[in-house]
Amino acid sequence: MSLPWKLRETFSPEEIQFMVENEPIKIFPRFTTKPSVRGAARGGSAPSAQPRWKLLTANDTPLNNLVAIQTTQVALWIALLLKQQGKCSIVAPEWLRLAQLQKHIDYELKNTERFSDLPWNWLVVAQLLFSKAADDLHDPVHLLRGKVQDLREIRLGKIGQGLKHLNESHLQLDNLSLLEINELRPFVLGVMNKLKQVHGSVSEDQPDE
Amino acid sequence: MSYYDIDDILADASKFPCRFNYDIPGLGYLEGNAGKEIRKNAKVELPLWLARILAIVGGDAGLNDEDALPFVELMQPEMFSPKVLNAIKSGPVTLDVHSINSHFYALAIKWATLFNDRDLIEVLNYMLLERCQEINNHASSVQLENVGRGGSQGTFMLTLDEFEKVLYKDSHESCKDTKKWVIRK
Amino acid sequence: MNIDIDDILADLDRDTTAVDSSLITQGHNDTTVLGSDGIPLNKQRVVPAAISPVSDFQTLMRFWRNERMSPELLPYPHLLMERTLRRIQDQLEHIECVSMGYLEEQSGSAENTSESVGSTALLNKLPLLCMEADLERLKFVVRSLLRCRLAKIDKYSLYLRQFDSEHGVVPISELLSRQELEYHERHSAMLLKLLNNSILRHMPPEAQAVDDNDGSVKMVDEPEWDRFVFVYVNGPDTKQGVDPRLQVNELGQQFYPVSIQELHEEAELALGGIYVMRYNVVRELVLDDMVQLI
Repeated sequence: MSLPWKLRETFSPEEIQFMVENEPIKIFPRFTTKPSVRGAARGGSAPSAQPRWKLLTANDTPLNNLVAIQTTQVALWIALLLKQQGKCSIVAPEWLRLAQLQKHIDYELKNTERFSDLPWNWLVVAQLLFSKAADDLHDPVHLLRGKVQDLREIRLGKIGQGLKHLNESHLQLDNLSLLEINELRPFVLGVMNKLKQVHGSVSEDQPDE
Repeated sequence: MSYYDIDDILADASKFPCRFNYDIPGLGYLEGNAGKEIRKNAKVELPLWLARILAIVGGDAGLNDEDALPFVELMQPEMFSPKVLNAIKSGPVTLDVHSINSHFYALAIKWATLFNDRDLIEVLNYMLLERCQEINNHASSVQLENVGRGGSQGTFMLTLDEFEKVLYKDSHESCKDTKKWVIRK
Repeated sequence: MNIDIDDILADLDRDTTAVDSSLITQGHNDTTVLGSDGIPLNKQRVVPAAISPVSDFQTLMRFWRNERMSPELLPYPHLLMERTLRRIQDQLEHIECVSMGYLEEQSGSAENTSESVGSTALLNKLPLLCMEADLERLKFVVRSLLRCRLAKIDKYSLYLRQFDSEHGVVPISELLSRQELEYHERHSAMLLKLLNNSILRHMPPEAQAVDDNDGSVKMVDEPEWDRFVFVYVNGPDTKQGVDPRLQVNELGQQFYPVSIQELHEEAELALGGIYVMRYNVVRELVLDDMVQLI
């Protein structure tokens, strides 16, 4: 089959990761690419006429103008690639701190009807940084992992509680992240499509029999 | 609903009690009397796809004094009787839907369509919402496979109708994949 | 139908001798024709910011997501795909050149005995690594998109055969790419032939139809127009300005009013909001890029 059954009408978690990897993140590069007088002089035939980095899916300007230890913004996948080569450190986002995560946890517990405004990619970014840039985090990774896990479970629990609000008309689900939506997708859509059928079977215009 | 939807076809094959409004020659085979006629008021169980047509298509008013009654009258089947509906209302989660009918939702929707039965829809809506929360609990628990069958978990799973099974399977798959991804990272 | 202004700009901008006929012709022609199409780097700089490779990629990502989640086959983005495929080809060649240069550089610096050689070599290799990963990512989206479309073309095979006479937003020649159209026509013809030879011709004529939509259930599968989908309301592109359909509610929030006809209900789609909606309710907004499927 041209597209596996499993991928019809939903995404795989890896595909969600792929989407999130295109988002920008700040890094401290450990090397310089910005053309300098010295660089041009050294090589003689150095290819300074053409930029070294030419990308199609992400902005390559910052990559051609890196200055060591000066923060710049690149796509997450590039940050992870450079990190893997030991060529940069990643600036972990502000919300990925124990204190911030605790605030989100408190909010989740206090407000049973809404979700805290974590970024739409929080879970994926957190997991990627945990596994690939643990030494760049503001706090010890095992503690952060614990908090993220708590947060995820509290939110899943709230989603479970909210299921009684499923209906045949529509639903607003602000502040849910993409991965959470994707996890829920078959269930929510399955139930709502069925409710739609259930309610579509009677018509208002006809009298009861 | 798709023409090739096998669950829809299977649901339509479920038998529903009908009462004939006419004497009809040659139809005796429907109640096991091949070659004989079928008598007015005879009660016969017919598959829904057939019963539906016979219950809609009328006899010819000119032939009879009676108003153009349809060939058969669809009678309320056991599964939509007040007894079952009350059981649903009092405990939708403990109900063994599978044993009532493995295409319960599909048939209830068909029945409600035929009779514009809003009460049935109410019950169905309530039942679906209550049971889906339980289904979600099962679908999102990874332990299910480790714990194995047995226990109350396994029992609930045996009570699912075909729609619920698919819902469970898809949701479980999705939760499992997500969990796998999270753990691997 | 909706014509993307970016596509028009790109079309005007493009070297007129380029791709148009070449890309769409048979596969074996592609490489040679495209190879001769080497647009100098500085020329790309002239291209208005609106159609940079990156903005095209973002558009492609959105289109991919919409295609994957929508019940119907969306109109093929002809110009966007043309540009994307051409860029992939160009980039492949560019990478090849760069990696040759890299080899030379390495052999040239071989006599250099300093300790930093390993690190320098890595630094020289990094752009290449990155560009290869970048290209793979783009190719992944293109492949996944085309596979998804093929799956839908198969699924709606008969529906698409009747498409012309139906209420399409665009004619089938625009809905599908030329290759897709050819695939569809041949595949559905083979399928019908198979059905006919193996079963249908042994049946009485009145039972031979595979496209009889008059019965209680239509034989031809249509997209499930009212299927629920998750949507994100992104609203108009800031560059394009305001969308007259937007309204402001009592909270000062901008929203799209939509109506769920089957239920005689009205609903609000607030900018920045995430909703579960029936596809037919948001279809127009999706086709206009005001709402995206997620």
